[in-house]
Amino acid sequence: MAIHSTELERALKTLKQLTGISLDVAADTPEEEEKALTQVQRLCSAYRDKYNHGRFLQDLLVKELPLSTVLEEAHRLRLSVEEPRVLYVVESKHALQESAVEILKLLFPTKTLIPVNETRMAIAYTLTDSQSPLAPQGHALRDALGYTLTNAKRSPTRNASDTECPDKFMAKTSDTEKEIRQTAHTIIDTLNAEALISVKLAYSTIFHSLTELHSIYEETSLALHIGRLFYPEQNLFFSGRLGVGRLIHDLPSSACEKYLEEIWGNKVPVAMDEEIMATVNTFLQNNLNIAETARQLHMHRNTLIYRINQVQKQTGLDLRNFEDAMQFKIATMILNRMNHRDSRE
Amino acid sequence: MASLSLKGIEKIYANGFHAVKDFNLEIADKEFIIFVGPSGCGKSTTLRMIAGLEDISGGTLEIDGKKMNDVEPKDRDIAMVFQNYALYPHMTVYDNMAFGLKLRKMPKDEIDKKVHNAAKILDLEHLLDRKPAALSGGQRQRVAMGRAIVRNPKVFLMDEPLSNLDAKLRVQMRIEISKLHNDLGATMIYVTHDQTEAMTLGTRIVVMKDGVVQQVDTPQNLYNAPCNLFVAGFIGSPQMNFMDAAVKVENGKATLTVGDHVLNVTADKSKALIDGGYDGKTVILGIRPEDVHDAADFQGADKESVIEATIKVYELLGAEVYLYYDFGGAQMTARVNPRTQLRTGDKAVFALDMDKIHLFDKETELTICN
Repeated sequence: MAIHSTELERALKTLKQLTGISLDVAADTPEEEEKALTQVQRLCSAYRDKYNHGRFLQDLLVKELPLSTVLEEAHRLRLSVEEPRVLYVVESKHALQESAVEILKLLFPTKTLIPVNETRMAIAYTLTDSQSPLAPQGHALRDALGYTLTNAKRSPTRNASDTECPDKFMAKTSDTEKEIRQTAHTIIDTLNAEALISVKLAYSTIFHSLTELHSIYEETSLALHIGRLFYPEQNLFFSGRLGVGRLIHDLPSSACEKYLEEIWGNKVPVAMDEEIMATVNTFLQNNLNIAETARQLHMHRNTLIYRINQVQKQTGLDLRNFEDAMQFKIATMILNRMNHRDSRE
Repeated sequence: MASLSLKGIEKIYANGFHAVKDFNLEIADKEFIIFVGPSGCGKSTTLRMIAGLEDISGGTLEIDGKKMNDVEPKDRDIAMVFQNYALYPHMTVYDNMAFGLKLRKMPKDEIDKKVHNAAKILDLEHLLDRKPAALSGGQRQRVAMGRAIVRNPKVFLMDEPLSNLDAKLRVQMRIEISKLHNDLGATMIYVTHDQTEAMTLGTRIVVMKDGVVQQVDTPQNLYNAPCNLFVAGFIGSPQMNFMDAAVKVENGKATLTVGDHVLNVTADKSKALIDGGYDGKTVILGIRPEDVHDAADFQGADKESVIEATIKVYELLGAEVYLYYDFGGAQMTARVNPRTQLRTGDKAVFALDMDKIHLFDKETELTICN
């Protein structure tokens, strides 16, 4: 163990406190020691910057911060406030293993990664960043966004569905959306194959200012929640397209309860019988085709008809009729939503 | 390597969506099995259940005789290659391949040996120091394969690994994957929606639709003896021609009427129709485009198997010509010799090779005879 000046000792101690790394320095001359001191201090400073960076983004993610604070902190951390970004939220059923976090760190610049909790990680991906794994896509996105920004005048809500956009803009934005989605797929596939973990991922619409991060995170988290609830067979959700799931999720509980009562009267089931639900779902998947459903379920046609009649007895809904089938589907989604709410309460 | 056994595998999601229904399959050691089917048929879900990325709702999965239903993916000794792979941009090819092993805290010399071995198999040795940005699309794909190979798994699982490549590269990589299977002698399960990929790669193919296995067989048998209308239509390009045909039995012999044409059927097919009680019923007649011949060139033509039609489209593909025409209310394709003189608008005389026709029950869509 070499003997160092107090200043170098202090710097090495700070480095250990900050990072957990123990370093020893072999310096033969005061010049070499001076040089080592500068390097260790820079390491500490870089680490602090990085740490604050994460904490700042974490704060911004979970709560609204005053605009002045955002601008001041972003400036100090050399973060660009006004930049087109997309937020990806990755969630694992169990705690995200170290390997998964390592992989994300390798795929994205560290300053974009925001740990939320032990199962969730957010990535505030800057679309103009050429340092990510998706650099080829990144460039394309930048090109596309150059156009988007000029034409959309930085409207955060602009997307391909905006009907007043000129055709060229539509085409460009649509390409951008495809690439953003492709990136999402790449994150999922890479974590599946490399970390051997199953994840679900939601991504946001493009936003243009860090000040929007909190609301964008809320929206993306909601997408993840709705996705898990209504579309458990999928693992990728876009907060801009949640379909009927969002509609049902946003319904007031009283309206949901009334609807369920209309279907089941005062005997609203806690959960649907699994066998009946599997049968009904296959029937709906097969566009109400009895022969095809019976064939797929290896079931006699009469057994299927008996089960459909059972549902009709309980609910008054004849699933062979499109309107009734639709009502039943909505009712089961609402039941799902209500059960989930109850289990959270 | 390993054998796999899937017994009555089911996947039912919390919302009741029944994605995979009663999936049964025995996969022998070193087999190259393909799961093929249209989008949403449950092929990827089945693969993900084998990988452990999806819970199994029912049935049993065994690898080498050991039940794997509740075993963590990392403990199943599998490796996966997906469609959307990402290489770590700041790492060399060597480090990209070594990364997974480093995470597992494998000794350095062992990692080195495995990476060099995989690089040799994949012909990547000269590229080990390069960064991904300096690689071509095919080389990147091989690095992604390399990351799976270094794990030295019992089973390789591949989910549409070539889908993002252009057509030319896909053909090249298809050959490389086939070679890889031979070199590694590994058990491989490969998911694709592309029937050409399935036919060229697999030792056996599992055709799926709506979560149900339709047929498991060798590529040749699937092509020659499909078990139902779906398999017949899905396998083969251009697709098999289908038309409604009315069955009439007279003097112990069946004939098929398509539109105004009466077609004689061979003795074995006639027997199958009579035994199945199809007299007076309508069946579906299927015939592959290569079994419809220019009558002038076809030795086996007789007047009961000859039809006349007007060519709607002439398509020259170099080694063959596709002729599109209407017959019996259905759009048909004939794959004929490129030297044919027939062109769009011409009246053509086609001979159907009645030995090669397939007949399907119109209601159940099951094969009556091939």
